[in-house]
Amino acid sequence: MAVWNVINHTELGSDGATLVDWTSISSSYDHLIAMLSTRADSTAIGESFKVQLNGDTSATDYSYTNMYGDGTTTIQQENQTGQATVSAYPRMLGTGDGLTNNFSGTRIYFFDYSNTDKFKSVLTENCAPSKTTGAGQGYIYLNSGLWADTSAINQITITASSNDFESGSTATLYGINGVA
Amino acid sequence: MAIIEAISSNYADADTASFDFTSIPSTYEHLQMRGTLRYSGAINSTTPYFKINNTATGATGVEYTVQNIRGEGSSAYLSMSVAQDFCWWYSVPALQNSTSLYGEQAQNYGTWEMTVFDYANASKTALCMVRCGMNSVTASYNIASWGCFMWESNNAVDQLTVYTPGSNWFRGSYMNLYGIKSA
Repeated sequence: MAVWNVINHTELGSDGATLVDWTSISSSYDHLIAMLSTRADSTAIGESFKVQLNGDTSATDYSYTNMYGDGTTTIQQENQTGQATVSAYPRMLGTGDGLTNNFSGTRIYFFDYSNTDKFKSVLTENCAPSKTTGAGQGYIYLNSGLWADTSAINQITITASSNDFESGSTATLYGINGVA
Repeated sequence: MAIIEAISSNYADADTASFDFTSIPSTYEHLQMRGTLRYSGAINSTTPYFKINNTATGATGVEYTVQNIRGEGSSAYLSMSVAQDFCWWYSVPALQNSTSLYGEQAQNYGTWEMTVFDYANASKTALCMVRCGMNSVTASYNIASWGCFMWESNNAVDQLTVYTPGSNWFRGSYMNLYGIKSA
C-alpha cells in the first residue's frame, strides 16, 4: 500500500478567487498534506489567503496561533479565537514585489482529519520571499490552527482574502497512510 | 505507484567538497532534499551554501533572496538578505570536525530538509523551503531554523549543489534527493 497518494492536483488556467474547493475527500487516509505554489493577481506586494473546512465560514469555530516575519528583523506572533479560517495569513506575492513570476510556497498538514473524536489540528508553513527588504516585503509564516469540530474533514476550500490567485497557481492534495 | 521516489543519494565516504545533484528529471511536481552535515574546516561551524543550476553570480542580475526565523541558544532572530550571488543559510547546521570549541563530538551532525516547489515550471522563480537544526552536547551552541530562499530565474531547476566554501563536508555527511509526483 502506498504511503503517499495524490488525491487531486489543480492548476489555475485563469485568475480566480478560489484556488481549490476539494469536496468529497475520502476518509481512508491518516493525514492530509496540501502543497501550494501560488501568486496573487494584485498590484500589492502581497496578499493573504485563507483555508476553510467543510464549508464552515462562520467566525466562531476556528482559532490559530501564528509566528511570522517580513523583511525586517522583528519576529511577530499572534493568537486568535473565534475566527473564520484555520490559517489566516499565508502570503502570496503580487506585482508590488517587483519580480514577475515569483510564486510563494505553502505546505499545510491536516492531522488525523477523519477522526470524529477529535477537533482538527492544522499546521501551515508558508514562504513568500521578495527581492526587496523592509517592512511588508518578504514573508515567512508558521501557523498552528484549530477547527473546533469533531466532524471528519471532507472539504477543504482555499480562497484569496482579496483579489485573485494568478493563473499558473497550483495545489496538490496528498493522502498519507499509516500501517494498514 | 509511489508518489515519492528517490532520485539520488550522495553519501560522503570521504571528505567531499560538495553534494551535486545534476540532470534532475523534470517529471516530478516538487523536490525534497534531506540529509545530515558535518564540516571539516578550520572554524567552529559553517553554514551550507547553495547553487541552483550551477549559478552563483549576480552578474547576470539573477540573484538569490534568503529569509529565515531561527532560535540560537536563548535568542531568536529574523533575517532577510536580497541580491545575493548565491544562497547561504544564516544559521549553522554543521559543526566543525576537528578539535575546537564546539567540535569535539565526532558523531554530531546537523540536519537539513529542503523542499523545492514546482521546480520544473519555467514560468516561476525557484522557491525552496528549509528546516534545519544543530545541537552541541557540551556547548550552548544550538540552533533550530526555518525559512526559505528564492532564485530569481524562471528556468526549470535541473541541478542543485550544496557546498561549503574553502573546505569539505566531513565523511559521513549525506544528502538524498527525492521527487514528489502530483499524478
